[in-house]
Amino acid sequence: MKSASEEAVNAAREGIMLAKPEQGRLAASVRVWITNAAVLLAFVLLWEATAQYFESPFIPAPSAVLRAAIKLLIQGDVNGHTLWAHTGMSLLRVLAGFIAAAVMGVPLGLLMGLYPGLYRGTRSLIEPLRFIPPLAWIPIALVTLTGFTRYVFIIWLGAFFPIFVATLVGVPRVEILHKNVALVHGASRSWIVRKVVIPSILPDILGGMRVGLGVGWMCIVAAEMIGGESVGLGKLILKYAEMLRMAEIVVGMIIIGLCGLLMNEVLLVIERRLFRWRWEVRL
Amino acid sequence: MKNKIQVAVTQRFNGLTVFDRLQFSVRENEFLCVLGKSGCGKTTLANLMTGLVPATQGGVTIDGEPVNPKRHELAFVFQEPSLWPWRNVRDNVNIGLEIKQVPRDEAGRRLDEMIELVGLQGFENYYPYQISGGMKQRVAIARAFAVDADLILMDEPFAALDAQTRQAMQAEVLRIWERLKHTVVFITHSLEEAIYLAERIIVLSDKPATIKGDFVVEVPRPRDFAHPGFIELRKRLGELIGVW
Repeated sequence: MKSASEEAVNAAREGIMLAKPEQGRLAASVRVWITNAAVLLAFVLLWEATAQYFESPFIPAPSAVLRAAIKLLIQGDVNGHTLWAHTGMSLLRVLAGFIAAAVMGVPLGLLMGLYPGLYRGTRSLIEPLRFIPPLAWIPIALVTLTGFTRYVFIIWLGAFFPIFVATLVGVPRVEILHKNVALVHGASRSWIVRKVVIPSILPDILGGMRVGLGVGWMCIVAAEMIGGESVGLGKLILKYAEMLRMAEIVVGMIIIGLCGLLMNEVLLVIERRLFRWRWEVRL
Repeated sequence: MKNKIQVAVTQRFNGLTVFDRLQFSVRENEFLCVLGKSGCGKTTLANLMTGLVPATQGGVTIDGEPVNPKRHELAFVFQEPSLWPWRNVRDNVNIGLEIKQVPRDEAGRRLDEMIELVGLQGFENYYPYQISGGMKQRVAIARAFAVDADLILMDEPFAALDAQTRQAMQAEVLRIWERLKHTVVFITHSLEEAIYLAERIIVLSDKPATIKGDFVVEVPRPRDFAHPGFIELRKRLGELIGVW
């Protein structure tokens, strides 16, 4: 039998073990998972209850949505496109528009941040453009563009400005002291841009990319409305909207949400890897 | 020893005269302390001497040539933590060497030497957020001494540290300077710090600042705060400056 003092020592040891940061962090992340699962479950139950209460074909129950999803996965939609094809196509379009936005937004933001005169001189053109919704561009896109470029253009419109603006406003916020360290040692302007400005604003750029990606996904329905092809998650929603089949529409909505979530998580992981120094500072 | 650095400047900002024909010189390998009240233009002087700010009139010369960060080896230890948070300790010390394109193996040797000299072995791969304030300033000092500097400027580098760390760092900086012998201009508002460190102290007046006093510190090293020479000089400086 253990003595009382021995037990006390063990208890104290356990206390110390629990206080170890890795274990605390693990426990916290398990808690977060459990909380999220509970919230999701509560939402589905509430949804089910609402559907049962109204018993309307316009409020599909979760079970009906699941059945629709399985059917779309295996048999495909009215045109025979499976859910995989829809998802893959939309993913491709969003990625293309997003990459185009990043490839243009980052250098342009950097350039205008480094030469503020360039931005001030073109402000009257750039700033109003920022507030025109991608939807408003649809007629112009319809008459001037064809095929894949239409989708890319609409998504690019949505994703470009968050990335451009994040880069632009990051540049003047670079610590003067960090620049001065390089200046005192005789660094050239281009060296400072490469070694001070870019590392300083990379976190801002990645933040802008996450916002841009979100807006890009939001534009997918608009883009596929005018695309002409019958494949794509946005198109799926539009097709079933005409037939007033809510279950398939909800499937499309959920998949868009999940794709956005997954891509956002990927960017977050990159951000955490690249900017450990910055994340740890904030914790 | 020959005069290495000549300062002769008048500096105005929007009609505010900071320096009115301020003149002094620094000898080669000298440890000079510039003593002045807060707001008398100490930081402006530091910025002028490292070429960060152009002078309104006159200027600063090193070895007879106008100061130029591209031609001269300059280093600056700032009051605020100036490490780059995205670089680890070793890469932070390397900044000056990298800019001056010191060959890789030569730079590596100097980095090892400097890191050992400031006692940061084992912390080379740590990032600034992982080390203490005192250690950050050690890195900044290592970065300054890593280049073969014509002039190292220190602008109240220990002002943000606690009293114990500050004392340790003062001893440390002296030890490194005695070993490597560079020209150091150390700006401070602390009488004790100036007397403890300097070979020579110049005292700045209020704005527009001119040289109010120029003292050679003859207290033997290592200096003791209770040494009669220390106390005597402290009294004279205190009287010259008035209430701090």
